[in-house]
Amino acid sequence: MERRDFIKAGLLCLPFAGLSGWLVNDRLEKLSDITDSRGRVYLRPPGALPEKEFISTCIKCGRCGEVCPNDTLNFFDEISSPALVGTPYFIPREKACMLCMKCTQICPSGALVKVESDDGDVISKVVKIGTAEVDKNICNSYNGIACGVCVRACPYSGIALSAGTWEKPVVNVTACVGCGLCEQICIHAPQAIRVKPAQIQRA
Amino acid sequence: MLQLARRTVQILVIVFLAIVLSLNLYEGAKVKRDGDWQIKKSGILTFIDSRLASREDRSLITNFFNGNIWSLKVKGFAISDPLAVLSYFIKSKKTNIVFFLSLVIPVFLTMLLGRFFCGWLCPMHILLELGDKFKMFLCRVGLPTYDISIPLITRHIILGGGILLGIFAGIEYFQFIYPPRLFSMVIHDILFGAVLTYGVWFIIAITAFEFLFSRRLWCRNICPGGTLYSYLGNKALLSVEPVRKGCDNCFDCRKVCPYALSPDKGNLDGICDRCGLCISVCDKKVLDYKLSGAGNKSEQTI
Repeated sequence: MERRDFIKAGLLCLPFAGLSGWLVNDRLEKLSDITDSRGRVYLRPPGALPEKEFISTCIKCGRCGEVCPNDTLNFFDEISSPALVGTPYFIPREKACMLCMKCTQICPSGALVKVESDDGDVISKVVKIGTAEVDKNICNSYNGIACGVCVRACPYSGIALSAGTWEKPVVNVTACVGCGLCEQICIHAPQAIRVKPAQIQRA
Repeated sequence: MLQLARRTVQILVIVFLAIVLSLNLYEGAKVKRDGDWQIKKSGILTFIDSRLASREDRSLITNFFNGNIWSLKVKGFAISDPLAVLSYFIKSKKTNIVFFLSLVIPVFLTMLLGRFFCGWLCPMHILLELGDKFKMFLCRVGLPTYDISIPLITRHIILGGGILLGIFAGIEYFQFIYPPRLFSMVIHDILFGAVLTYGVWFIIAITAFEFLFSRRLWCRNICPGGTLYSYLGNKALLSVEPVRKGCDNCFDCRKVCPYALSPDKGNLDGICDRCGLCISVCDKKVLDYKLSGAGNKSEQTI
């Protein structure tokens, strides 16, 4: 009788095994692989651990999105990527990160590394959401029209993003934290400067 | 009356979660650039604003409780659902001491009172008990009712299997299926505008299934959180036992128990959620809560 029960229970757990198998097929390696139907790339909140570690540490409580004063953070809801459902992301072109660090202070599990200070140097040491990259084919300043709006929007203006001749934006890849304020404000459509998600977490 | 008290506590928990969510979102709106517009758009936030806007200690009040039933902070003290910490540990293999400390109160209370979270606090529980009442109504009007039943060992496989899969294959499904975590989305949608997230659909699906096809199958045999609580509450100090003589073997207590236990034999332990339905239904008043740990146990049920 016990063996029959055990087999019956095992069979009933097939849906759960199926669910787990489905989760295995998830592409977890690079968040940059995962784009929505408009080809927009998702970024993690500031202070996020490297992607694989982030997904195993995030407990999907949703409190980072609740506390964000800029309405920047959203939460994945696409069942096609079940391991991601409930984890936070933002799209810089829609709403960039202000680097207030409130999300890192509220995260209970440490998926977002806590940054209590609002000192720009401290923040730039911990935060590496991604790196901005200029598309010189469409950027106004690289095509004869002096612009430079992105350089003015950058919180590390002159360090992470500086203006060359004709206000051409030049990104310092080590200094850029990837907040996306440049991408949000770019006056060209589509934007000529984009944040590429970080491949390596800055220590 | 016991059931009145329990129902009140269950409703108060949901109201508490709604209030905490509203206060947290209000405080968030207060510091936003377009926060005033967000506050005006919502009747609840406008009401809170009318009461709290002028106070100097506003942010102390709004953020005294922060979070939801899955992850909560009281002043400076974190309280987490044990399943949250377990699912975090099995996947990340980390031992974040501060996060682990948030386990202390729920685990301590469960070891004291047993699986009382399920019977008294879980917001999903009250929905599923409505399913019971609905089926009694179906019976009374002569419509067919079903009770799909699966072996009791299933819940051990779901919890144990999930833990093993998490440790060895990095797959974690508890956070995907646990109703209290999903419930915050439901409360958010009801109060602040419906974005029908997957969590809402999942809860609707479970509730509909329980209304039509089974009696408390989720709590009894599936919920990994409930199973975890039943392990933690296995040798709890508080239990439900026959404390007075006069049992007339009517077995009403066995019929009413959602976990198909036998309170008259006094063999309740981990799986009993201390709902007290057996206590309330007994005409001879034989059963009651008892704070003494293992009583006379003929069979153990974890």
